[in-house]
Amino acid sequence: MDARCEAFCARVLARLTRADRVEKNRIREELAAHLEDRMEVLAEAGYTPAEAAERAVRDMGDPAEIGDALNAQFSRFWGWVRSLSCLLVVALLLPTLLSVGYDLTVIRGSLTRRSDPAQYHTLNEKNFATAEVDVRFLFKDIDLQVYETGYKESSGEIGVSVAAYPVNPFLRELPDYLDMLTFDEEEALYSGSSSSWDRGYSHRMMRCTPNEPYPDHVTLVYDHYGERFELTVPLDWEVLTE
Amino acid sequence: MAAKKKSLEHASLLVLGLLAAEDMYGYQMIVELERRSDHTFQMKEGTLYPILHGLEQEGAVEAYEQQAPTGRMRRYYHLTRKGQALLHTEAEAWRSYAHGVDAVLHGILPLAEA
Repeated sequence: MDARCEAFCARVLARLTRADRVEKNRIREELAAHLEDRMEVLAEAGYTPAEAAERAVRDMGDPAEIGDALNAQFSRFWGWVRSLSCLLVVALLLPTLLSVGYDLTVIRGSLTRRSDPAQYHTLNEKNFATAEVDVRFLFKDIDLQVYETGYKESSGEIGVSVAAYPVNPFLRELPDYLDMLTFDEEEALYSGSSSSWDRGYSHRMMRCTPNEPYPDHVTLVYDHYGERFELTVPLDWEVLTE
Repeated sequence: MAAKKKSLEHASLLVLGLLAAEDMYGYQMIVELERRSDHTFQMKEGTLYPILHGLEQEGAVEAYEQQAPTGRMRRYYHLTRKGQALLHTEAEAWRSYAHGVDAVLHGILPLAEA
């Protein structure tokens, strides 16, 4: 999907505090399909892809307003019930896990990542201006979530915070293949580096320096032995340069 | 006095009206709404989705997914029996309201034109 459309969806989803992952995915797919339909019609009318994307996003309206209106449709009560159910399951399982020697730090890190990864504003600590995003991808048995982008004006660097957690919350370590997730060098937009995954907390900060200023997105890519996936992460420059 | 039931938003009424004829997906509804109203109703397209999800929560519409010939997955909305009843009631209320407004304007308009 076009980066402008991706950014629009991300800004809507960022307001959905009461929706769960399944509901958010459903809304993202529905909005994305609408934007693609609209872009197709505009392209037939002679718009370039960039013009079509810009117009399609503009025609949708204010993403924050739409996100708030959608969020109001979800019950706060069921959100609490869901959280309480998770806590209850954990409380019931804890004695068993402790008896087999599980490290509580790993479990706590894994669970807090799932509930609210954005509380770990790692880029803020490195003097980046930040913008919330919500870009997700299920890769093998690992949920990847880009939850924050950043921009450091003094160095021109772009930062991306990624949370990764196994579908099984009691898995002790992330698999090694996740180290292969890098910035997409084929795009030649930027040169990048990233810290290694923190095994205990399952998050990673990735930084790169763009070759051209203010790109509208960065792409993370995993490309190994014929397996490939890409994550397009929109950059909201209105927020990052505020 | 019993509390009066909150009337349906006009945009919701229009959406129910569209779905009375056939099941539709979001973008199709926007296009159809513009066409049928001769471009009188041109809403910000994204505001349709909170309306649809609200109607779904109320049980007035239900959604299902179907693949388009292009391969794109589309979410269609279908008017339920509850939605049909709601549409009938609200359309009656709207006609009655519009009739009342017409009756008042009928007396005013000749003066305005004079």
